[in-house]
Amino acid sequence: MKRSDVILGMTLIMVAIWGWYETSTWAEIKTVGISVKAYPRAIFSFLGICGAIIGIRGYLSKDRSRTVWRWSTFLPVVFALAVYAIIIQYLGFLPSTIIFLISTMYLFGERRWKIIATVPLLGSYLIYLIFVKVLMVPMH
Amino acid sequence: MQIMDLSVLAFAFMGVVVGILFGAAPGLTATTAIALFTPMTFKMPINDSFAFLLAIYCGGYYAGSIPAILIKTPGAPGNAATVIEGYPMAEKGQAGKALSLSAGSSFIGGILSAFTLFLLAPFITEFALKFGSPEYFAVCMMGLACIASVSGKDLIKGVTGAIIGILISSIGMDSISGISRFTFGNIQMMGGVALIPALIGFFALTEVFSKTEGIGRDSVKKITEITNFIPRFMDYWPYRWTIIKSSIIGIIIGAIPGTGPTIASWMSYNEAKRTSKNPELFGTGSPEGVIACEVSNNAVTGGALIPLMTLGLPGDSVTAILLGALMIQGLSPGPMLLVEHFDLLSFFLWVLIVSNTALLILGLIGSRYAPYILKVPMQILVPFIMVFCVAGTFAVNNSYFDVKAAIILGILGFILSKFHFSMPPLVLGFLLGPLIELNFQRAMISSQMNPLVFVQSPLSIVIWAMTIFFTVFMYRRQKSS
Repeated sequence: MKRSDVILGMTLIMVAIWGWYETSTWAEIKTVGISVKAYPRAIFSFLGICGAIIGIRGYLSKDRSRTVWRWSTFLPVVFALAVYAIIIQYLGFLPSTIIFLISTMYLFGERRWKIIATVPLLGSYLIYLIFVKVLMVPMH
Repeated sequence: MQIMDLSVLAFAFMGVVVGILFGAAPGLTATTAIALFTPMTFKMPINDSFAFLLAIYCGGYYAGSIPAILIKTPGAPGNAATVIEGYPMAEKGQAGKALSLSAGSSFIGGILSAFTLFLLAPFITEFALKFGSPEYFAVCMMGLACIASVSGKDLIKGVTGAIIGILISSIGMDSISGISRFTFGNIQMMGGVALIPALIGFFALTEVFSKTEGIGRDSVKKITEITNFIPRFMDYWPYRWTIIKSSIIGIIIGAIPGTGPTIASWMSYNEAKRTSKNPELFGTGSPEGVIACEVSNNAVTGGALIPLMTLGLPGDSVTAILLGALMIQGLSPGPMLLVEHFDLLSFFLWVLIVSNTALLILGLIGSRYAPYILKVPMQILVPFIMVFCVAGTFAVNNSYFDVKAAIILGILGFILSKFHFSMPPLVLGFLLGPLIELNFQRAMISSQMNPLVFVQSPLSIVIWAMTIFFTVFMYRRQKSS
């Protein structure tokens, strides 16, 4: 049994079932020839069928290989990016970008303090110039 | 449209440099570069914008051969076949020759495909103008079927990826009934997921998240010293038939909606090996193998632009982003594009010639500096790419909602890639989803709900037959490769 495919197949089937349920809550519009539910339901049905095939195939598979997840790097990066996307609205582009660059460079193993001190400052300012001053993107 | 403008030349040159840097850095691709830089072109005039983006396209596709030859790691999947001959050449001390042959071959493939685009596009446009909704629906299904058949090792996951893409594209207000779909009461979701944030999420952020797993774990590979090698005419002449065949394969595969350079280069490599006078040299560092792969890899560029310019369908993942770039410039990709803006075609030809010439010059002169690109510190580069992703996504609509959407789609793309999904089917599903739905609904309504409308016209039947043929052919080719 290939566990990752079984989990994936079950997830896709659950999404398909949710899709059918969600579309059942929509009001029917009679003026259009086709039901508004028809197209999404057709897509969810195909998704469910594909999920079932992947799940069954995974269950019958003799492949025991497992997906390697390196959560220790991925999760902190996603967290840092999410925090960056939020604080940029309150702190502004330059301060939040400098904080983000320093923290992610450190997270990725950069330990040369001269690099950490200079590159984020200069790089952030350069990007600020490109987007805010040249392209007039309102990221202040 | 001003095609001899100095700024066009400057942007084309810059684009090639950017494309080479991204294409050569292992783990980053031309697709990432174009996804990142497209938002920066919004405020540029259309000629500068497309000079820059098309040049990134050409430079990026060529530069994937640099790590393939020097460190046995293809810069992009399209350069995987180059590893087989390029790396043994480098081991024999012929790294400079392999890089130069690669640059020269990319130039030849790129130029031939540019002229093919120029010559064929008007005829295909004339043909495409006869398309109604049923024919358009069939063409979209052909794009999906083809890409699913060439997506990695797993057909069913390719199909599933395309379906997920279609589902994501269905978020927002239904264009015909006006009902809100999957918005969860969020007003910002009523407009659906915007194109560029989705492309940045699926291509750039997914790639960045994948890259973060390897930072600090990449083994440092020894790179041989390189001396510049200027190829002569006689280096290519013995392989003229290989060059012609590889160009044709690259252009045809590129022109099939949704395919791309990976299958083109493998097919050309296999064909070159099959018909070579010296097949025993293949696998030991055959220049013919490098030439076959790289000619077809860059011949895809012009080929992939054919469906984009004539049908509004992307030929590969990069043209999927260029489709968005065209829309941002206020153009509507589709059969009417060349009817209304025929000068765009001659402009594209000019830019492709300039870009391919620039990549040849930079590739030949700069091959001795190639190892420096490979030593780029990822722990510094990746955070900057993430900042570019955020700033570029925001720049599209000045919306933080788009930034959050791109991050979520990046996470989704990363998770799916862990389950061995490839991104192109997903993106093509996302792009074609609205077209499929719209043309399906239009065809059904206009035919009073008669499903036979999709197979009634001879044109539809031909397209469906081509869909079946290409899907089976691609799937078999992919499996045998």
